[in-house]
Amino acid sequence: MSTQEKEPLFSAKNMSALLGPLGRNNPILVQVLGICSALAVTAKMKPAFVMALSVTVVTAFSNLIISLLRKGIPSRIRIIVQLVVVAALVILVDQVLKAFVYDISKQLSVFVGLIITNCIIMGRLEAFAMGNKPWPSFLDGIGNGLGYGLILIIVAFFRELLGSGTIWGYQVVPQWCYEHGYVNNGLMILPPMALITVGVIIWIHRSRNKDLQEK
Amino acid sequence: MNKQSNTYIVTYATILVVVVAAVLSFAAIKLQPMQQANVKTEKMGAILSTIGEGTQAGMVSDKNKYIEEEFGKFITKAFFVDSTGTATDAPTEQVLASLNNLPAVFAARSAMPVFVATVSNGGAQKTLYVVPMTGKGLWGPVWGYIALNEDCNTVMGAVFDHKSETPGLGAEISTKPFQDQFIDKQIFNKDGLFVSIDLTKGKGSSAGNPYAVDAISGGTLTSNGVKAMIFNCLGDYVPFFEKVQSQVTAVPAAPAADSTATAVADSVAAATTQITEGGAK
Repeated sequence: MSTQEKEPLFSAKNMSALLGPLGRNNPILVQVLGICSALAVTAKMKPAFVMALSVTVVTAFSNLIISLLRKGIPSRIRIIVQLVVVAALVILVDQVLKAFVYDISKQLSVFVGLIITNCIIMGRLEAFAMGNKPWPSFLDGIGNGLGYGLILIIVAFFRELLGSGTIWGYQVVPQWCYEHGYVNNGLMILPPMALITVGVIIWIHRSRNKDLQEK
Repeated sequence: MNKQSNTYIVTYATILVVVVAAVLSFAAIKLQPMQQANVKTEKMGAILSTIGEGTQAGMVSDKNKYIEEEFGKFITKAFFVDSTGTATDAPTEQVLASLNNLPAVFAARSAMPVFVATVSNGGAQKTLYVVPMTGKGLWGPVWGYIALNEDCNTVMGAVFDHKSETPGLGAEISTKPFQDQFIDKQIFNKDGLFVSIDLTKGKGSSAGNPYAVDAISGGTLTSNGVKAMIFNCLGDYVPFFEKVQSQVTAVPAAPAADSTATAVADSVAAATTQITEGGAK
């Protein structure tokens, strides 16, 4: 280790750990992980944003902690150790949300607790943090959290705009539209349309990244 | 050291769990006062919104402080009533605390909370009674608050909330359009019998009916839950309401009572017209 040359903090490899998940290697679009909560919390942008932030914090710090512990974790109980760390972080996030943004934490309800079961987190711990140094692991965690959050925000944008006529809680569809017979699409509020929206985003993503298409 | 040995694994797991437990309990203890303040603010905010106050809560920077001040300004008294309608004065804090366990409060029926609000209505002081309600929706608990005018009959405002009703369907009970329907509805019919407020199917059947509102399409089971909640919880308060009503009629000199009496007369007249119309159909 000491003989190795010190890698710069934002080397090409580290940047790809951070930025890869935002585009080519997006956890939702390519790995299709974390779909459950992506459907549940994206009816409005504000909760989607808080959810994205919470997941980013949990992935980043669980990656960091597991990477710091990786040499000492007995391999026979490594999944349990990972779960304990993730669960502890999720409970912390939940408590902090309840104390500081109570209204939003009510809207997110059980889904904050269910971050524990978000496959992105366990997936990144097993695939990356167990075998990499703390700093790249931390970046990888942030990258994956943001990649997940990006899709959440995009889906929430369309669902809130078409389903409630608002963006971030502010009315954007003018009143005269309603007076001329425009109606908010109630279906957009329900989970099935989230799935369809995610599907459309995956479609666009695949058509731009031809090598991801399956033959 | 052999990392696969049982001793190592057990020691590792023990230390990890103790450290995590310590961190979590520390966080829980540190954050608890803030969380409880938020829960209390939510309840006080809901009570205020039934009387049409505390509307700036979304815009102020310190919501807890704003709600606390508004609550102190409008809610002048709080007390418990039992199933015979006898009121026992209690500190507001204590009455607020009883809201944390409403199902048990209504099961015991010995100390049900009532909040008295004083609002100025065009110069005249007007007394309003706010009572909590609790019941079962489709997926989980539903609850709410209802504010009654001095006559303990006409609804001044109502709010409802729920734990996990279906978004877009049952969850609509927590939206303003649904709650606004309750304004000016009545819970006693013109013979003075407690009829509660019904949730009926279709706008046509509830329009003009002072004892019914339009239920939620696609949220029948939630609507039934809300209907049962209003009937059961307000029903428990009926002895108290009747006591207040007998006192109001006993003191005809007060100007507020006069305006109330007129309002009652008006709504009774409206009700009669409606009933005739209904019969004509």
